[in-house]
Amino acid sequence: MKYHVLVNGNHYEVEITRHGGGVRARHADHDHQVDVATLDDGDAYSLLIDGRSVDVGVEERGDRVELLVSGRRYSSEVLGEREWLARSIQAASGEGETVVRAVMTGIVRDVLVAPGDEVQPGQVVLILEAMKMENEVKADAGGTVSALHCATGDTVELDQLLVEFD
Amino acid sequence: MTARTIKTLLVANRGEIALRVMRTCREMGIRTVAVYSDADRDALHVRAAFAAVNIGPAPSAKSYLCADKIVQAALDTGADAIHPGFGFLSENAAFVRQVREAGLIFVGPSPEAMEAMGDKIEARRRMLAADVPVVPGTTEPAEDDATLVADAERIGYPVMIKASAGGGGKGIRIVHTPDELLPAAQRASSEAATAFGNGAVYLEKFLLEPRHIEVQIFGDSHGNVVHLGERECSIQRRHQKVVEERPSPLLNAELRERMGAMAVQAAKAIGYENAGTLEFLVDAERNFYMLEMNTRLQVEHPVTELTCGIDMVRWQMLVAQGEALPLSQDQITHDGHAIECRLYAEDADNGFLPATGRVTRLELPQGPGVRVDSGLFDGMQVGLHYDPMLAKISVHADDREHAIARMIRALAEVTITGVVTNLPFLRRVLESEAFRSGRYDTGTIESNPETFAPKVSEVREQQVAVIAAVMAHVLRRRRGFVDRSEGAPAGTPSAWVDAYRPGGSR
Repeated sequence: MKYHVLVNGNHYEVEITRHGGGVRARHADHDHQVDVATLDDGDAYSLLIDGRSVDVGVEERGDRVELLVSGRRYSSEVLGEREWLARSIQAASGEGETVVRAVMTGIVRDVLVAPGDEVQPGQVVLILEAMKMENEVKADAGGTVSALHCATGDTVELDQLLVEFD
Repeated sequence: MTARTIKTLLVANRGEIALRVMRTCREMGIRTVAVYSDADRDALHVRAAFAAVNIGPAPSAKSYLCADKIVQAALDTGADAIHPGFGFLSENAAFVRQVREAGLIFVGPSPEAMEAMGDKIEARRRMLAADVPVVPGTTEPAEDDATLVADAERIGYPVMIKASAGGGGKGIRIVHTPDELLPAAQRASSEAATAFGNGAVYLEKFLLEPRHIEVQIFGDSHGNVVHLGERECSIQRRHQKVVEERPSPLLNAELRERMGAMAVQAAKAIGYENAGTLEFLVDAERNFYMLEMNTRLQVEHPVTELTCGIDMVRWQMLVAQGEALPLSQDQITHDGHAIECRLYAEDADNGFLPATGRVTRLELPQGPGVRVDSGLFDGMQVGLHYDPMLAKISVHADDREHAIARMIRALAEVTITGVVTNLPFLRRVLESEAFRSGRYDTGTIESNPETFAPKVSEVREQQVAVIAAVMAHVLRRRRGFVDRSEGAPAGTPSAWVDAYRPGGSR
């Protein structure tokens, strides 16, 4: 099965096949033998990649796969062939949703925009607080606010949709 | 004060510091009472205590900051003393009064000493009167614009505008040129008025890249004050300490002695009892100025304990019981080098955003010369209501070089999955040339972002892509199998994928 993986905006193709007790991952003409053992009923795994031992934490949200490898977090997106194709077509036609998502789990302290507001790229649209620290959440792209999905005082999860633009 | 023996102590805190206090109590034969919020029912401090009392919902304003509930919990459980730990109510003079009026012992200084050092303008006046050097600046709240402009001119730019009632970075502005002064003063004042109910601001000279070195002092009710040496705390990010060590690589014996004596002089000037810390800024010419006093036990107290062998919580309890300090100044000696690293639930590779989650796997360092103060446990939910500091890892060795090697080894032994921590950042700090050479200051981390930024090699990114594909494949297949067994529609993968179930068939 072929997967398209996005890490830091870079695209990697990885082909996974069943092999022995584990799987074989083929990337850029290199084969890696990977054995996966679950460490508990949670999200932690011990991987042996070509015999090298790596501890991995995994959190899945749709296509997104958050990895914790040796204490470091990596965000990736793992798409099948069909999803990758759909994504490429969407990108080519210039349609892409313009939204603001929660950069972390936290409490909304202040919403600085309302539906109908014109927002510039980089403008602060709301204040999110966690662990006594306030963080400004900015809009990457500008536009007119078409919908607000949160209010002051709401607790929001990482990646939750907060603001939509036209 | 007449001597009273503490038999039962309520710890008005949570996490690693609550456990730290309880450990000493257990050694002293003192029973402990924990308080906990709804979010902390399964926390280690609740399990470690003799008894525990629920004090309300998760937000600290409704639980750990409720003086009434805490004092009532102490009375209900027959406690005769309260230890505040740090943070929360630890520097709240009104709380101390309430504890004392309830007939209980507060393990800490008097409310008067807290107030004297809590208001920054008042503290500057008291220290100047006691011949303790403070950062050059004003000792009156700014009266009008003309005075402010003249004062800033006299002190010399850059200057800092600070709120008298300030704390936590609120109400502080750095001003580099005269035209920025008045608008900045206005914003600082209104911020302070909102945050602290007191808009008084004053000016301080802004020292360029100073070192932050603090001195631990201890006073008793018999008029004795001693110091337990310094702690070097210059490795900071956004005014938050990250790594501390003792001795400071900057100080020589003469400067160490002078700063220690000055800290004792400052504590005596306000009749200070119990544990306290004088924070100093030290400039490039090794001039030192008192910055502020922390009237409580400090987070980083383990580095002092490791080098002088004193259990500071035990001393706090003895002094609170009205006893004299166990040692005089010339009986206190230090040995070797200690370093502490603070493990924060922060994504250091992603703008240091606070991280939440459930700890799925946990391994903490062990072995020679390692001390761990941690509130972590398997399955712990790291929520968004409390401080992100999860644990402190400290090491002790013969000399600095050995201590650094030992800390790097200890950090390598840490495994935490389920919640992101600043562990990789701590490793980068310990391995940096700035830290190894000992030539660093409070600006080192922020003025060298590239040194402390994560380095993702191309090879590493490819590995991550492979791991992501493998895990997505395994998890999606596993779900497919489970779905089918629960009556999912046909077309889902066949049962052979069970062989992929991690750990399932092996």
